[in-house]
Amino acid sequence: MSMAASRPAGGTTAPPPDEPVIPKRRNAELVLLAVAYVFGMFAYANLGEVRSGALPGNFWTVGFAFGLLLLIAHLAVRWLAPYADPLLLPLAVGINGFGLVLISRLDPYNIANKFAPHAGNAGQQAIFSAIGIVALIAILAVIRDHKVLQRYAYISALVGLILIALPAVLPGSLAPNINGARSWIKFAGLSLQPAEFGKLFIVSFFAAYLHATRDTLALASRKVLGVWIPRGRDMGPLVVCWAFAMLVLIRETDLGVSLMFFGVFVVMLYLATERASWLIFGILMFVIGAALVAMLVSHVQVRFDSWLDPFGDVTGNSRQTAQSLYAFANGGLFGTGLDQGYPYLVGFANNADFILDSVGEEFGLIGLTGLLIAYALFTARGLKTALLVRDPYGKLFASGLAVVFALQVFITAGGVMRVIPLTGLPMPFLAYGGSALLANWVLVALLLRLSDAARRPLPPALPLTAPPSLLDPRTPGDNGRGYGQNKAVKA
Amino acid sequence: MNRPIKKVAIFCFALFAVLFLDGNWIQVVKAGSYSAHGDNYRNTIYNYTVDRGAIIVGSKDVAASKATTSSQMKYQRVYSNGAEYAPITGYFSSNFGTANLEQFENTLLNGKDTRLATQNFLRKAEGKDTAGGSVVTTINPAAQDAAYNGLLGTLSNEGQGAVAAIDPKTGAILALASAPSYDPNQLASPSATVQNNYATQLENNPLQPKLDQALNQTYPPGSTFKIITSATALTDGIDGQTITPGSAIDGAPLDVLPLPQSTSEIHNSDGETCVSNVLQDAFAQSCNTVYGYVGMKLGAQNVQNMAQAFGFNRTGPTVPMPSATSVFPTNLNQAQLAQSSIGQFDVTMTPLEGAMMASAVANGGSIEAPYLIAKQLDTKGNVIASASPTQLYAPISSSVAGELSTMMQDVVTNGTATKLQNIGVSVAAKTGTAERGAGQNPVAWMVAYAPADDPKIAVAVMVADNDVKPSDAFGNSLAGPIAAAVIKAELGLS
Repeated sequence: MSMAASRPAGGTTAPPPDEPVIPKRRNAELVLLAVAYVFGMFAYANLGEVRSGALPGNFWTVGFAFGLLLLIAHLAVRWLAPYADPLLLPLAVGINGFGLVLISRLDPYNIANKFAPHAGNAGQQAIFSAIGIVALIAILAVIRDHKVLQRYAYISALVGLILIALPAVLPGSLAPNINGARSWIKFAGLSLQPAEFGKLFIVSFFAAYLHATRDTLALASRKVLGVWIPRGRDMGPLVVCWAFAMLVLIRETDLGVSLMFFGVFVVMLYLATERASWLIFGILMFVIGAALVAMLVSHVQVRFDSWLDPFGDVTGNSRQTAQSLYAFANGGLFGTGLDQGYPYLVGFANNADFILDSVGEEFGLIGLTGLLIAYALFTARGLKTALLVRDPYGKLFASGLAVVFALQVFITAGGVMRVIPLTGLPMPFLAYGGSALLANWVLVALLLRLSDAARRPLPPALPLTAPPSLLDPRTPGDNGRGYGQNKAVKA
Repeated sequence: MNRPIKKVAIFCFALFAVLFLDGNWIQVVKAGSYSAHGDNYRNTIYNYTVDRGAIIVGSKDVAASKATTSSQMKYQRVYSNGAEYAPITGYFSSNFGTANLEQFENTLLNGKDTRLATQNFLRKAEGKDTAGGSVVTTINPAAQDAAYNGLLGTLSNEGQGAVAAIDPKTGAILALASAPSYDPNQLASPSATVQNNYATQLENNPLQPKLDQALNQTYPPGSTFKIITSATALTDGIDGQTITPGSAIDGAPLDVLPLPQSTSEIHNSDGETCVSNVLQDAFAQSCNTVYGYVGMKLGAQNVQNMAQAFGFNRTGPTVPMPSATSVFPTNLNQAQLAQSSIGQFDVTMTPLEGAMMASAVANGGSIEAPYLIAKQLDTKGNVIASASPTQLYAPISSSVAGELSTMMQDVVTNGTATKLQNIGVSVAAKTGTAERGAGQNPVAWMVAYAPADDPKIAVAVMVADNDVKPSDAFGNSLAGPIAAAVIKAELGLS
């Protein structure tokens, strides 16, 4: 780690200024958690009332189980990450609960049309929600300091790349072409979207890698016509990532994964180097590459065509784009009301990639805006964490997680709302898909861990005579955690 | 590193802002246009989940929605006396769309009319299905029954016929019948197979049952056009001389009218010789040779102008269904003018135009715009709009109308319209028997109004039937009884 001891912490440096007293906000989190819980349960009760005029049969069971689970999660955060951001967990719970109700709402259609097993998708998703929350607690318990992850940078890279590339290299029996894209793995009765986990490993790797090489990437460049041009050999990582993104696009024909993966890399590259030229190069390379692929690969081309002209082939290639727009149009400002619309007309993946149709149609622009605000707040809390966290690796990691989350929301929502061509990503927390849900709960756990570190007050300064190893009692021996490190690097 | 993080935060905010703006675009700005797409299956579903409003004749629903037990197609459209009222109601079909009032009053019937927005918002809040408003037509069921049953009783299996009756003082349509007709229930069937089979059957029928002949088909008017030729003569005079019903037309032949620059001649019906060249007598006897001569004397431009004043060559009125345009040919030579003046050559008109022609005479020279919708009702049955009669055309002065009235009454008392005699009311009428191509029977017309002194109904009956003895295919014999029945039904005479 090159950031290493460029300046031994302590020494002759003046003691840091007193940091403001940061409240833990755990009680605020509890109240917000209760709000999110009541919101989800109210929606579920509403669904039952609309359907059959009575509460759903398992209403009290589900209510008790999730109530207990959330209470445990809250207590775990109180104990394991007492300074964590109070908004992250309630937002994730709220969106996840809303998603469960929507999946439950779509189940009758999907069961009738063999898109879902006889028991429906909602129960399975509920189990994965619970597993996700348990995973969150486990991660908070096991990873007590996010900097541990920095040590596994290259293992992360390997695992992440394998996970993302897996559907592309597996035989068709294990990685079938679903709806034109190969981003799922079918294994032992489970459907997995490995890219969802892959994104976490990749972001972790980017954070560690860029943290190590940022000085070289930032400083060793020439200025041509007012733009910093990186040296040829420093372009290496960019080119490798680009090639990988294009490979994913061609082999999996999945513009979503490709764009999310490359997008977060370019943004993190910019964060690490503060050189806008990386952004420009990255965007240019991706646009040109994607355009070339679109021209050469027929499936990608079809998606571009139905993006440009969604109503050209409503019963054929552009069917889903058109049906998606019809759903949003039918919702209008206020929406049709839960269970009163026809979002399932989009057909296959109505509760996964196209679940936003249900929000737009049945909750209207108002409901959609509310959901977007929830996603935006989650992203904002992630970026706020990045601002507050003290070490550069943590900053890169937190902002990478926040950006990959925001990109996924944008790519998925933008696809079904025809801002960009349709892609094959699920809406985080909302869409059906156990692996994706689990991965996003891990993302919440990591952000909670990072925000706990960010908001945790520093221990009182020790006398200057103390040996450096005593300066930070929590991470003895890690002298990378110097105060004022940012200035040192930028100088 | 905080400075770029803040910039990235702005970037992420921009991403969400784009999604929000796009949401506004597709859910508000473009929503109406997307929702109106013909291939948007939601429209089909909507149509069958809304309690569609009724089409009402008198106090009876001729088209109504009945709740079903199906959850997808919650309501079934039901027509009573479907074939009789098909020219009015049209049909509401999942495979073949809509027609007539079902089509032209669709937004009211299906509840999307903005005037129903509040009621439907409240219904939604109460958990009720969206409901549509209803349409009360101007049709008098008694007159409609007489018209449709009259046609059925007269026509052979190869015959077509139509009746249009209007209230000359208001333009309200009292009867609108066309035969053969079709059963809209079959086209609105929940079974697509039934719909398709029936539609194919209708397509293959050469008599075009789906065609509303009263509004949408034109036929040569024959001698009924002499009303307009007379109106021209009474208005413009001949050779600078004023013409009255009692004027003798000097030089008009009574047996044969040779046509200039042509080898053909105009004869009278059955080769008869007319008894008089006095205009009123020639009108009552429907004397072709006199009227052909009168037409040539009037000049093509004058006859054409009068025809246009009556509505020929102008887009047919919308009632709200559009009707076909009746045609009087232009750039006529004298021979063609003579033929056109007796309603032959290329002159064609709709039965509705026939009724409008009679109503101009009946209403002191003014034609009120014909309309089919008396009232629009909201979902609770309150009136939200009522028809207000408006003048459509004013082709003749009231004095000319009075003179024509005298002449048309004379047609009944002393002339060709014997079937309208002694029906309990004084009737003014004009018969027509228009030649068609070789091998086809003439088109039989009766254009009439009654009572002659206080007109309440103007009616045009058209019968085109190839399976009748040619000697029986006259306006009076084929169309006359139907006109008499419609008038009696409207006026409540037995």
